Amino acid sequence: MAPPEEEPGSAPPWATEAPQVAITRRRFLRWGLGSVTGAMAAVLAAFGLPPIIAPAFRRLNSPWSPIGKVGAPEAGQPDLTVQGQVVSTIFKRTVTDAYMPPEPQETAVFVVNLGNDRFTVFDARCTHLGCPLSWDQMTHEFYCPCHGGVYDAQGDVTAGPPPRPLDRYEWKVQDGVLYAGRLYRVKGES
Amino acid sequence: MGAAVEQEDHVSAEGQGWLEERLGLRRVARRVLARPVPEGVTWFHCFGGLTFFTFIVLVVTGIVLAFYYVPSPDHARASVAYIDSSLPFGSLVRNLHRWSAYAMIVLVFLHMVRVFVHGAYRKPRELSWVVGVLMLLLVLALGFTGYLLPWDQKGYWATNVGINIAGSVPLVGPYLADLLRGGQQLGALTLLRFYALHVFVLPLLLGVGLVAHFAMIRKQGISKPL
Repeated sequence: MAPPEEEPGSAPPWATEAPQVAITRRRFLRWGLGSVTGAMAAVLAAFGLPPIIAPAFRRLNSPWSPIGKVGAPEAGQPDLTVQGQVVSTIFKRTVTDAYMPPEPQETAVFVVNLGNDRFTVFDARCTHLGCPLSWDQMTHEFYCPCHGGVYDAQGDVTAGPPPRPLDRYEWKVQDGVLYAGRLYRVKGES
Repeated sequence: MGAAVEQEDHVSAEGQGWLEERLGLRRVARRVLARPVPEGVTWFHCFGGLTFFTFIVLVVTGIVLAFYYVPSPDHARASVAYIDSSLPFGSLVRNLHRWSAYAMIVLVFLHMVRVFVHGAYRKPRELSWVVGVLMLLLVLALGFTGYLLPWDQKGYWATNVGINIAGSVPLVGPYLADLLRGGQQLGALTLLRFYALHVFVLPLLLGVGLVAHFAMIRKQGISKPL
């Protein structure tokens, strides 16, 4: 029951010279079956891989979410009236998470009133590895508890490992209410 | 000199490839693939191989579905809807899984009919037949457990009926039904255990059966046709 030996003189498929032997039935079938099998595997991979890698290319949708009133605050709302004051607050963002029912997600931010209805909305997470920051009213600096990152009131890095200034949210004021939109990052000094 | 050494690394003296020189895969491939086949073999002998092909398609599409499916009453339907509507090629993959499953059951029966008509189950191939029948039961069990997973009305009530049939077995029936159901109530635990059976237990057993089935074909060869 020993398997039949290959015909003598047949060259391996990677040989650079043209094979001297005419195409035999065995060779024809081997390549034919190999190609069909390879094609079927390729088709399966072509349909199977996109669903798995798709999430890597999906962007979070960020609907405008209210942070608070620009004028005199209501009870339990952040006071955004003091110019130049860093206000630590939490707003609710409705984030769509695949098949989960949409649910408001609490998001911590630092809001700075720059005057004339202009604001900066800092993300409250360190740009190093995402730890939550705290604002020190005495030194006027943001501190990260994890690895000692420090930012000044403008969000620029003054010490520690953070690679870039604080991330910010797009903002708008509509009907006297401050809204946060998409999160974006800034490079270098701002 | 460095170039010469490098070249020797890629092509050995006999003109073999780099991998071939180290692993000798061509010899292995020849031993596995080049087998004598009796004369008169026809397309009817392809049903077993086609069944195996559907098995491969089911494994691949099943793995893709496992990336998104949630075996919980809260999210099963929502996650299936997400696969169908929001995932690129998701609906295609799910339908490939469904239709390959149907095709597998049809092909298993065609394969059995061919073997039966040819009398290919006779000595020395009785064990191939026995293992094959066990795998038939596994395939039907896979179909039954998979039917519940979308957690829709059809799957829910079909499972209800199926478990009640199991419950009509004399003596052990009620215990068997509760075992399948994961209690007295068709619900969260039923879905979860059907999922575990469908994704881990049954495919693993089927894989073991396939290895045994193929090893016996390798050992005994294909029976001579009528």
